[in-house]
Amino acid sequence: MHALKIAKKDVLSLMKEKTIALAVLLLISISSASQIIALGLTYLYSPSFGEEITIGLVGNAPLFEEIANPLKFESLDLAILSLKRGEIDAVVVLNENMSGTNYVEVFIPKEEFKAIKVIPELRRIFMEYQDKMREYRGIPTLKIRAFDNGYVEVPEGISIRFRFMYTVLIPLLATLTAIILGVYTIDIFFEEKRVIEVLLCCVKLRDVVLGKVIAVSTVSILLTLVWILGLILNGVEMNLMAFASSYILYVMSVSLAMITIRLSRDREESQLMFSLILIPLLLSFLTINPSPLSLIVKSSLSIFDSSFFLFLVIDLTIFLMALKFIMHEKTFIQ
Amino acid sequence: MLKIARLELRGKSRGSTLIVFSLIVTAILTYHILKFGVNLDRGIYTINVPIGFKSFDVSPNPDLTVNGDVVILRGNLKSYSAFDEFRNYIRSEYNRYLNEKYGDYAFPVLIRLHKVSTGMVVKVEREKVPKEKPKKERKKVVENVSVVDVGKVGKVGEVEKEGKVSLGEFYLPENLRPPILLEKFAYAFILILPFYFLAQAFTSSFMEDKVARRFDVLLSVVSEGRFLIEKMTPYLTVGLAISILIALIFKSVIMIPLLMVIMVAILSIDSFLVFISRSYKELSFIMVVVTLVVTTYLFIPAVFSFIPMSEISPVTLIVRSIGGEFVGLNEILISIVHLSIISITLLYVTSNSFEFMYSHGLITKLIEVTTKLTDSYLKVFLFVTVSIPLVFLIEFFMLSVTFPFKSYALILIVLAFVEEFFKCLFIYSASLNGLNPYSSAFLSAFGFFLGEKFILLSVIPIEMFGLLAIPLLAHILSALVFTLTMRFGFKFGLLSASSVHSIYNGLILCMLLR
Repeated sequence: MHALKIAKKDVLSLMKEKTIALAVLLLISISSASQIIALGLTYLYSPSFGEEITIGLVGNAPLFEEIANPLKFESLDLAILSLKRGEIDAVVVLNENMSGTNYVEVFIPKEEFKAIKVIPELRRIFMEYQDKMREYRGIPTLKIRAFDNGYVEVPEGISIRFRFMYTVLIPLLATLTAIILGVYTIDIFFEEKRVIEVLLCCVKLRDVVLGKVIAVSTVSILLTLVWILGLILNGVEMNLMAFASSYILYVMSVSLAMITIRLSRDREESQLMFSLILIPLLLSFLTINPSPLSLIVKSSLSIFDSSFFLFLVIDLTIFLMALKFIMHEKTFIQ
Repeated sequence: MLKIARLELRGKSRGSTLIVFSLIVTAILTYHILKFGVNLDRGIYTINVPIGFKSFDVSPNPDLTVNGDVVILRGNLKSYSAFDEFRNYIRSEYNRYLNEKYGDYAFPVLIRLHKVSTGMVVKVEREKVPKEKPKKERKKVVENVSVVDVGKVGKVGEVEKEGKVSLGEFYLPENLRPPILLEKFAYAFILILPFYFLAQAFTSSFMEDKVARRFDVLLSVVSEGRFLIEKMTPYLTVGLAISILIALIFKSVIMIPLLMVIMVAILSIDSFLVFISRSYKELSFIMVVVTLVVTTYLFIPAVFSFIPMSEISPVTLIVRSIGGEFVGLNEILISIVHLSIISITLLYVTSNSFEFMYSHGLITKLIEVTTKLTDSYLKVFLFVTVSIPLVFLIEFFMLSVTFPFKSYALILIVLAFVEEFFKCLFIYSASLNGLNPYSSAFLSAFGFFLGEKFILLSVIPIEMFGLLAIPLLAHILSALVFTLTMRFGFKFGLLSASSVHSIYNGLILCMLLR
């Protein structure tokens, strides 16, 4: 009962300072930034968004002309002038060589946004040109066809957006929440340190610690719901298993924070210690697989990884250790 | 000399073993990531046959079912993405095979891109008119024009055929894409990560000074400015050492100013946060939020690094530098100037804010500080002008918060509110100092207009300069509305000015969409 009262006090003080509102805003902002970035990436990479372009050709290239239908120029200077006037979108300098390597020089506008649109279309044209050249030389060309209730043209670069969402953004949001929770844990414990002797007259130390854990858990549920719902509202498909997997990371962060609280004299030292351990830990999670971060990626994609149970055991062990470590009067009274 | 800096270091000596250990482990892990990449994508897709690509695991219920040259998809984004990556992987493997079997003969086309400066042309097209394909008759016969001496180009590099390309080299057609690489983006983030933690240590210590009221003692013997600079010195020194190390690793000296300007910006923003925060808890939350806002502000432009405006972020140039691309002095200046303005402004404000550290309420604190600072008309004009990069940073954050609501009206209101807040703050403070509010209103509006348009100067075509009188008049009008209504309080005045500004924004948007 006392623990619940302490938890309520901590959560209410967070609401009162409006700090939780900032954290919520932050997570919404990052979730929606995903939409902006996804839009940008799709726009930049996908040739299906590309425009039909006019190419200026300097040189003699019959096969290329068949594919690209370019405007021909007598000199590079004239072609560049036309490019600067906006009459053409790119200049190709090519003297076709049917047996050797064709080193093609392509000039595109530097400043115009249109340059972004020109590249995917140039890519498409030159890939077709490469295939024709290979066919002419008797080299087999690669054909991969995709079917999904009939033949489909899968846009080039569609995976970049997907990768960004699931392997960058989702781990970033979970990591951010874990950092917020760790820092919050340190703050609420040190806040109590100043009045702990008075508090311990009325409640047991166990209730104080339990109250703090309940407060952190409440905040964690709120923040996780915000970013998961934020992503879903922004059109990202999410398996709710990601919710459970995120807690593997959160529990590690909170346990680490609790251990540093016990080992430090003041909040400043605890924060520093927490950061110094957390940085390499997070970096190792990026390199090791399976890791709590890879688990979050997979679970958000509806892939079950049995390492979940391994991490659950590790988490429980660390958390119980941290609890035992912090549940000592020396933590608060030094 | 540097007594406060030495005091700062003494406080950290207890954790020196952990600091050294953490730095060594971080350096090893960073090196590992830079060399081998991050490993979060293992097994994110499923396929029916093993292909030897780490992102694909074999599964009986796969995203892709391969059957000869046909691949069956599952109809969702994941399956389509899996196919895109599968296709790229097979292409690179196929190129490897062709290279082994046929050598250079199998690579008939190699492309090199050149960017030509055409002068800025901004076209606002309401409706796209389909362009007619050029007809054969339009062709002019060319007599053997050879501009590039292909003989000098040399042999196709083996590296290219492996799919690894570098800018300025020849590309295989399939590798021709806008140079935005998520991997380099991740590297840049890892390079900046140590600066965040340095800033976190700095902020903790600074906040401890505030809470323990160490200021009261120290500021009796040193000036506020000196205290702040010396407090930052140890962190800036470590930051500089890290920057030099990174510059040596990447053999790129430009990394030093680019990284240091980020470091200084983060430290100055964090010191300002100490000023506005009431407690540790508040500081922690605000700091996480602001750190993320700054990160997003720095990194999102880098995602669109093909757009000239992206050069406003130093991260864009860091990413380009990692890719071995040449970065010019003017580009470096563009990217560091606005962050430097933010840093200098915030440091100046913070160093003048110590006496108001313990005041209550954010707006009260800001009014108190700006009142201290704006004691002349010139300062009203200058402060509003230099606050523009900060306004853009906040607007950027607000834009991403309001974006999911898909409401133009909401976005316009929020943006108007942010802009008016900065304009009105200095008008109000100047009036508290006894300056004429109408003159201040004009100077504030003009300063804001000038700063705003100066940043956008590079993208405004000359023919549109005549139209700039309209936003100037709108800024003056909303500033005057604030001046007339501020007698009912700052908040009421701000609300009135923001309403006028929002209506103006709405009208302009309607005109553009019509």
